Amino acid sequence: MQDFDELKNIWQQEEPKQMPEASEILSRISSTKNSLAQNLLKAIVQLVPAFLVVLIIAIFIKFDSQVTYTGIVIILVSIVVYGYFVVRHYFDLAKDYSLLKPAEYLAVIQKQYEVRKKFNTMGGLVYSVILYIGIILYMIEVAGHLSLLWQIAGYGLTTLWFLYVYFVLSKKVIKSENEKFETIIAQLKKLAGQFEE
Amino acid sequence: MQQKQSEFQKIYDKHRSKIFKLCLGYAGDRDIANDLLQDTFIKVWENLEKFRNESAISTWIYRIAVNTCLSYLRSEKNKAKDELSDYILETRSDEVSEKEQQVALLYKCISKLEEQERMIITMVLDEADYNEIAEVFGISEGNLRVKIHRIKLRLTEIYNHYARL
Repeated sequence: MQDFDELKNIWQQEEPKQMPEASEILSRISSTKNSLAQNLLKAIVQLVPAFLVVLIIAIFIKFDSQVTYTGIVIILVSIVVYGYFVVRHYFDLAKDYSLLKPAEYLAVIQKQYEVRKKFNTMGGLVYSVILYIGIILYMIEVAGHLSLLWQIAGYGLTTLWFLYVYFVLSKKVIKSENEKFETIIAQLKKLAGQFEE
Repeated sequence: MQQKQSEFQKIYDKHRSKIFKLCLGYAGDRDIANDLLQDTFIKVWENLEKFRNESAISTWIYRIAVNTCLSYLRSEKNKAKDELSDYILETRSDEVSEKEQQVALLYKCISKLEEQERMIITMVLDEADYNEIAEVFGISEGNLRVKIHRIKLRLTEIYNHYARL
């Protein structure tokens, strides 16, 4: 039978080996910052080309109907708003809360995951719906010049894309990501419970 | 910059062992503990200018380490493991000393505790003051004393259970 003081002796005799040197940590500092910047850049790069193409169309092509311009504005606004939330998430995740009390810290990161889950569930869907409305409004004039067959193909493919996003992406990808977030949020709640007075 | 680096070097050399043991006690895995140690000291570096000597630097570093550990979340972490890990079994070979076996067993027993209890007990084992531990965890000293009493009993009980096997 060992008592607690004997366990303390065992613990204090151990001198950990193979710990990194200070120089390794200092070299990791710059790479950590770079990886965050790369992720941010990747997120922006995915949205910028789409935004520019729509903007160029709006500037250089003259449309007769205000409905077309309304569609273009809706598309541009939806891209900007979506991009804003993506960038804001990156900055929010990059903030350092490590000096807070553990209970406060857990509350902050739990909130972050809840916001990400909400954005993941609703954000993508709302973005797709608004984008769909914008594209349909834009197509009314553009597709109006085409034959009936091409009109059916245009509206059909756009609607199929939207249905794919809604029924396939939202049901599979978003569901699996949300399950991950729910697991993490449950763990954070459990941890937070350990810090209640 | 040179001065900051040399200050950081001194802080790191002085505190890395205790922080590593806290991380290892929390995570139960040396690679993860190394990552947590590095993440902790990256945050120490980034916040060094914010340290105002209002508390001991060890308290300040422990706080960062505790939060870094808490942010490490594993999907498998809540799964109960009733058997000794491979790591413990491996250490029962003739190649390792009895002392190493005892240390490995102690870490294994710590991993059976709740997350907060693991970190509190590693600080107790390292003889941190109770008021420092209470400050790190943001709980009252009275509450901490009750917790420590309970954790000591439980850890000793778990250790003796495995030691008999």
